[in-house]
Amino acid sequence: MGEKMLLSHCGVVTLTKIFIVLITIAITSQKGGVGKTTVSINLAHAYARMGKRTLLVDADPQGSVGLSLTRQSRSLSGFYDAIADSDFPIDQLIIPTRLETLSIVPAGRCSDYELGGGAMGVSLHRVRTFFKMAEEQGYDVCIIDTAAGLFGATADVLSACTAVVVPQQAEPLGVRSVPKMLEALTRMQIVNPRLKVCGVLMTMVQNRLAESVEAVQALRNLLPQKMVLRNVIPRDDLFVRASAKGLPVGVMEEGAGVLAVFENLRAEIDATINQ
Amino acid sequence: MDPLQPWLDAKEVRRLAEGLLAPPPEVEEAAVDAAYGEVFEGFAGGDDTPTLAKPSEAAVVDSPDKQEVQSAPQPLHKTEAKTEAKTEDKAEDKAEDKTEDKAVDEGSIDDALPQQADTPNIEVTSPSEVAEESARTVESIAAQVDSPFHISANQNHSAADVMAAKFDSQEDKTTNATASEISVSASDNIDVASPSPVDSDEPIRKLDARGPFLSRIRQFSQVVREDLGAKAMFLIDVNGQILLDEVENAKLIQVARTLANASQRANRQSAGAAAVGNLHVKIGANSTLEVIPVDSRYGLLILGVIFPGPIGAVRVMQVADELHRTIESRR
Repeated sequence: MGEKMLLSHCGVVTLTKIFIVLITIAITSQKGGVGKTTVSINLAHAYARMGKRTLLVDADPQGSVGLSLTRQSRSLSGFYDAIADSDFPIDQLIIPTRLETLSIVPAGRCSDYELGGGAMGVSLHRVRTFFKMAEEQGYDVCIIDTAAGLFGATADVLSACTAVVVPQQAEPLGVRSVPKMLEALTRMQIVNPRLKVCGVLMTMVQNRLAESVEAVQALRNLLPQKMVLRNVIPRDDLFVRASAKGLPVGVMEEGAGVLAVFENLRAEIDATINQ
Repeated sequence: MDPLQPWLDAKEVRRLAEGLLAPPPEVEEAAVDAAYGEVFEGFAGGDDTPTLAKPSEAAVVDSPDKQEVQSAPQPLHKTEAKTEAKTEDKAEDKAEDKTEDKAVDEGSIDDALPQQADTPNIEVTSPSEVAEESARTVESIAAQVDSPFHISANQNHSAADVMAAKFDSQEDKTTNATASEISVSASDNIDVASPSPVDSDEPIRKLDARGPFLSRIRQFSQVVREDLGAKAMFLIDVNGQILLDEVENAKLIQVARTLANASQRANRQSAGAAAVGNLHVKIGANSTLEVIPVDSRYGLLILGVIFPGPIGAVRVMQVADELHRTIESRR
């Protein structure tokens, strides 16, 4: 619970709160279908494997994380229920996984649209309260899978987050939407000056497809070096197979390679946040 | 062929990206998010009902010799203390925090409690004693802390008057004065009506709004209080210039501006979006701030009204329409 009883040297029992500072990382992009959920799940898995108490939060009203990892996600309360009712206890939303350090909060039965979504700021205070509760529960890292687009609840999540990673599909059309995303993130940083932009993460990279490789290279040429993460996520059938089984790729038998990719990605993101 | 260059302005994109990578500006803790602050819990707890000025103290628009009688803005920590005083059931959890806060924030608490500045520190040896002492401390602080909501004793803000005068002079230039000026007497202003049911379907009263800009707005304010049970309101322009402020809470004004600006941007981005969004934030147990942006001939004006609860989209539209009509009325 982030709170421990300590016995002081003189024998007087005192209550000392040891709060671990929660790192909240939003996985966000302006464009849909770029692999936000895949990145969220596998990045959370990488953090959990490192022994960090990790909370994977599904802030996408489509409930993609829940649909990927749990069978009954539609009937579970989740993030949007907590946003709709700030008194909703977070411990009733958390679903443990077989990996002790990894827990999930599904999207829930309420959705962004039912909250009058669309306008930024409506749920900012409650998002902050949610993160505070997660911190009090003793989590070290919170990975938030958001809906596409930087408005509504996603904007509120970004306004309260420590860092943001922006997955971008390695194909020309996706990369062309980067300026829009940068503009939106600039607005977010006005609201949340401490928001650390970890960078654009190139996903679905196909080394055998010239256009895909060129898109990655063009983006690297265009943006400052630090703005594009060194690690890239390859397109791999294994992601589809893992999704079918409701598992992170890293726990699949043939998943060692992808596991290493996300482990490196985790280390790179950690280094960026701690700069 | 370069897959990017023809589609975007490389220099602009690079500039945006470099801006995002820049280290955050060194700002004071409180200035990081002026809208909420790090431990903003709403203003619940205690009596958050605005205390209204007595009619005799209320604004008289045409009396520039009256001076402002305003209390200094309350520091955030006082509000927190008041909020926490109401959560006695959580006193044990918060006991340590209180003790630490007391030590760290000694100077600021001393400001609030000058008579306790010399009180010796109490040695606490058990959690229950810590809890009891903490509860006593916050209660004693809370007893002396004013609600952040209060109606200005004198609405004749110099800044607001300057703005209103500017608006009035614009009207003078563009219209022929056909109606005699209405001098607003004290009894016309800031009169609290008992809140009427907000969910009633009856449309709000139509104002026969004439006179100087500020007096029209005050009449509008009174109608919204009487017909919709509003507690207080403020009206600002898009630059944050205050036209009317019955709330005197810079944070709420900041929240309203942020919401209104974000809403306007969202509207511009999505074709066909409603002109008036339903923007509201719960700011206390029985207080909701409704933010109503209204386009006028003076540009975007932002109305913030504190109601006991959300009033719904239809009411928001009615208030927006009535405000628009009030603003556009000529003298």
